[in-house]
Amino acid sequence: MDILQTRMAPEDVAHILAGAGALAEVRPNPPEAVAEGGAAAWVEPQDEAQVADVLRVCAERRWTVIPVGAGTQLGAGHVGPAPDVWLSLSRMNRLLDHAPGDLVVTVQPGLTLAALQAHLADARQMLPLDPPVDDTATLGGILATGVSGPRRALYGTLRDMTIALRVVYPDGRVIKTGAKVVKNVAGYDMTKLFVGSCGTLAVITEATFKLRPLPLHRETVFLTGDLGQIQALRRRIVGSNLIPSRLEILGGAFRAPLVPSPGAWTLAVDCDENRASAEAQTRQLLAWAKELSLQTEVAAGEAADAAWAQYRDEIREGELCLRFQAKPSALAELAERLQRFAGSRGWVSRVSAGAISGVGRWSVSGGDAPGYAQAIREGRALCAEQGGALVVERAAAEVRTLVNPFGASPAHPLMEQVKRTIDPNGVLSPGRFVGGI
Amino acid sequence: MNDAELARALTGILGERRVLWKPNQLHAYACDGYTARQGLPRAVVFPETTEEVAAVVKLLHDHDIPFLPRGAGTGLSGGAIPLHREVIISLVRMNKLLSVDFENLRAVVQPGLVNLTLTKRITHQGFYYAPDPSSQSVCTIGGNLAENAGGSHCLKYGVTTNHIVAAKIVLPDGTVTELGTPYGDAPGYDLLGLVVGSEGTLGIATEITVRILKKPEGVKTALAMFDRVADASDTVSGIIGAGIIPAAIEMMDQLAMQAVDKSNYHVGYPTDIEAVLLIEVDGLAAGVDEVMDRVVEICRRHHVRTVKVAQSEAERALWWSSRKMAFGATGRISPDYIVQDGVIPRTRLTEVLQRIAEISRESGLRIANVFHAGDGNLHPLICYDSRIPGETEKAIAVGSAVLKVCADVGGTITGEHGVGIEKLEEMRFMFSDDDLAAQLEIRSVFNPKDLCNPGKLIPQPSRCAEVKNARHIIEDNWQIFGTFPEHARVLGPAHANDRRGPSATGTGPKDGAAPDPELVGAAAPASDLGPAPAVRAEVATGAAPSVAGTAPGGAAGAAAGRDAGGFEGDLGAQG
Repeated sequence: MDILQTRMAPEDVAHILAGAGALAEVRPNPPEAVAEGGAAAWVEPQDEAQVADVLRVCAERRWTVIPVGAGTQLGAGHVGPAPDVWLSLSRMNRLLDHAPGDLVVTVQPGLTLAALQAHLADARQMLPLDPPVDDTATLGGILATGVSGPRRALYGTLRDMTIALRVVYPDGRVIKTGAKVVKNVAGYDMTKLFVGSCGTLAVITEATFKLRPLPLHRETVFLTGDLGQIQALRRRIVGSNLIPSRLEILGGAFRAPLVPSPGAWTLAVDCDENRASAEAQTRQLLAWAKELSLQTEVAAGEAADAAWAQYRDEIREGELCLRFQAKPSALAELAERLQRFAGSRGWVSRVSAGAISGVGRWSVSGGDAPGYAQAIREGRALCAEQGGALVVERAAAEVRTLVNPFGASPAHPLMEQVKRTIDPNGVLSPGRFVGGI
Repeated sequence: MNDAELARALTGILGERRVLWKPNQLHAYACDGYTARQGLPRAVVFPETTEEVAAVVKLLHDHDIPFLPRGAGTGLSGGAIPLHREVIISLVRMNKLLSVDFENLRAVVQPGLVNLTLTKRITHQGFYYAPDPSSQSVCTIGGNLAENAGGSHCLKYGVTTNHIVAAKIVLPDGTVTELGTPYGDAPGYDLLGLVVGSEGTLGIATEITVRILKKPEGVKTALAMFDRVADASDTVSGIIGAGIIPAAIEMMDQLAMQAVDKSNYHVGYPTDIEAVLLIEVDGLAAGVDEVMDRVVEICRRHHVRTVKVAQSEAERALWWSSRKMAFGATGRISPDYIVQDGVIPRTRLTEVLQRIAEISRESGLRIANVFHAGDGNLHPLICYDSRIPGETEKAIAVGSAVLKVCADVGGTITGEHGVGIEKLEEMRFMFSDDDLAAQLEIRSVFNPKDLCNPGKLIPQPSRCAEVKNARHIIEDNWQIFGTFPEHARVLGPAHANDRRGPSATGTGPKDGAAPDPELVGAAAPASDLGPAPAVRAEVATGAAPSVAGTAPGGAAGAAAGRDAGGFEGDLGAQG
C-alpha cells in the first residue's frame, strides 16, 4: 500500500521538515552518482535533537532518507531511487572533546578527517587512518563506508579505533553504544554494527575514537623491481621482526617515487617507530635490496608524508576505484593480473596491494561503463579463485547498475533481520547496501 | 522432554561417554570463576565437531531447552553459570589447532584450544597470539571470544576483538554460519564484531580464525616504585604524552604489593611506597633501549624512588609473575575478596583512587588495587570475610559503588571480565532503557527464543525486582554510597521484605521448568536466591576447572565448583 502512495512534492517535504526546526530546502539535483535524478528535500539539522525530530517525521510518513556528509563517497553501493529526504550532517561538524592524556577524541559526524588530523597534530597525535579520500570527506561518511588505507597494516581499521557512538534510530530513539575509554566489554559491542553500515541502520551523531601518538620519526623505503623480486622481499619482511606501518605493493601509472619507471613494481615500506628503529629497519631493507638487485629510494620526514599524500591523490584520480582482498601472499599476482587487464585496454591504471592486510585497490580511468562492468566481473572472478572478494568503492551510477557493486551473494539472513529490526519500514538508505539491504 | 529422555537424546548424538547427566556428575559445573552464585546444569555435553555442536543445539532448540557454552570456566562474571538448568555445552574437547599460515599471519583454532597453547605451538617460528589474559595458561580462545578478553598487553596490541577475523558459528537454532573474513573487510554488517564479547548469548563459535603476530625483537621491562600514587599515575600520563605506547603499564598499590610478596613470587617491595609500576616497551632491538631510557627519565621527573630495568629474562619473569599472581595472592591477606573490573579515563586515575579509598574507609573493607594503568582498567580487590554476617553483602555493595564511580567519570563497569550475571544491575550505570532495549533487540535477531545463555549480559528493561534490589543495596549501605550522595538516589518506597542479592534476578527458563529442588539442594551452600560466600582464595594449588583435554566424567572439572579456578594461585583472572 505504501508503495502506491503518491510521492509528496519536495517543497512540501521541506516545509514540513522545517517545522521540526531543522534548516530545510529543496535541491534540484541529488549529489552526483548516488541515485536516480530528481529534486528532493535537503535537510541540515544543527544538533542530535533535530536529527531525531527529522527522522521521526520521516518515519511517520514513510519518507526515505539518505544521510550524507560531504558526499565524496556516494559512488559506492547500489543505485536506487532518489530519496524523499537528504539528511546532511555538514552543520554538525564540531570537535566535541579531545583528551590528549587519554588518547581519545569525540567528534560530530560532519567534521572532516582532514580537520581532525590537523587538530590532533597540534597535540602530536593522530587517528591512524589514511583512506584515499579528499579533504572534504567527513568522519560520518568515512564511518558509514568503513573505508581504510595502507596504515591498516599496523593500526587496523575503523572497527578497531571506534570505541563509542551516539546514533539516532529511524524511529527517533537516540542510542548510545560503547564507552569513551579504550577498553570496554559492557553489553554487546553495538558500535561495530554501525561502522561500515552504509547509512542503512541509523544516523551517527557522535563518534569517539582511540588515538595514537604521531610517530616520533617518519621513514619510508621504496624498493623497485619486477614482481618476482617484490614477492621475495615481501616474504622476507613478513617473516622478519621488522615493523612496517604500511607495506604496499604498487604498480601501474603511479608517479615517482611511488613507481619510478613504467612497468616496474614497488614495495613501499613505512616505519612509524623511533629514529633508531626506523634507521635499523631501513638498513635491513637496503641490504636485502642489494641481495635481490632492487632499486631503492628512502624518504624521511615530510618527504615520506608527501609521498603518501601523493599516493592518495593518485588513487583518487581514477574514475573507477575497486577494493579487492585475498590472502596477502596471493595479492601481488592478483595485482599484476588486474594491471594486465587494464593495460590490454589502454586504460590508465594504478594498483596498490596491502601485503600484510590482504586489501588492495585498483584505480582506473579511460574506459567506458560496459568496460568497467567487465573489469569488475573479471576482477571478481580472479579474486574468487583465491578465496577473496572485490567491491566497488567508487564508480559512476551507470557502472553500478550494470554490475553488482558488492558481488552476487545475497546478504546474510541475519543482516536482513538486523535491518528489519532497526529500520522496519526501510526508511534509511533503502537498497543501497549489500544484497539490496 | 524429561531428564531421562533428554539424556537418551544427547547420548544418541554424542555417545554415553560424552554426556554427563547424573546429579553427582554435575556439581563441578555449578559455577565458573565467579563463585558467588551457583546452579546445577541439566546435563553437560562434550561435542568434538561443529556438526555435533549443531546437532545438540538443534535438539535443545526444538525442545525449548536452555543451554550455554563453556570453555575452561575461568570467567569472572558468571557467564557460564547455569541458573536455569541449562544444558552446558563444554567445548574443551574441541581443542585442536586446525591450521597455521605463517606467511599470511593467520591461525585457525577450535574454541577449546587454550590461549597459551596457541602461542606455544607457533613460537618456534617466532610468532605469538597477542591477547594475554592472566588466565592464559588455562583459558580457552572460545572463552576469550565470548568475553572479548583483554590482558596486560592490550594497551598496544588491542583486545580479542582486534585479533579475531572470522569464525564459524552455530546459531542458537542449530544452523551453522560463517561470519567475518580471514582477510580484509567482510561485506555487510560486522556481525562477527557483535558476536565477539556477546558472552555466549548469540551463538557458539566452533572454528575461529585469528591473527598471529611476529614476536617483537626487543623487549625491555622496568619496575618503578613511587612514594605517592599521584606521581605514579602522572608518570603513566607522561609516558603516553611523550608519544610512547608501551606494550604494558601495570600498577599495584601497597596492599596488593603486600599480598603478592606473601606469594611464591617474592619481589620484596618496600612497605612504605604507595605504588609500583611495571612498564614494558617492545619493538625493534635497535630502538627499545632509547625508548626505555625515555621511560626511566619520565619516572625520575615524577619523583620515582627507585626504578630498575630488568637485567635478565628471569628477573622480568619474576616481576610479571608477581603481577599476574595478584588476584590469587589476595587470598593471603583476606579470607574472601571480590575482583572488580572498571575502566576510567586514565587521566582521572588519581581522583578515582581517592574515591575508592574513601569508599574503603567508609565501609571498613580494605581494597587492594591492581590495574592495567595504561588503559585505565582498574581491578580493585575488595577484601572481606564471609563468616561475618552481612559482610558479603557489604562487599558486593562496595564493588557496585566502585563501578558507579567508574561510570560517573565517563568510564565503564567492565573492561575485560564481562557482565555475566555479576554486573547486570550495574549496566544501568551506563546505559538507558532505550540503549538496553536496542541491545536486547539485537539478541532477539540471533537468539529469538532466548535459549542460548539466557539472563546474562543485559538486564531486562526496568524490571521492578531489579529496581528494588538496587534500592536495597543503596539503603542497606547508605554509609558507602553516602560518599557520593548525588548519584545514590533511587526513587520510590522501599520493600523491606525483598532481600535478594544484586544479581538474583535472572529470567526464568523458557520452558518453564523450575529448578529441581533436589539438585539445587545438592549445590549447597549456594542457592539460586542469594550470594554465596566467595571462593576461599587460599585454595591456590588445585587444578583449574575443566582444563582442556581432560576426559569428561573423570578429571574434567573435578576441581571446579567451590574450589574453582585456583590455578597457580590465580583465580582464572582475565586481567
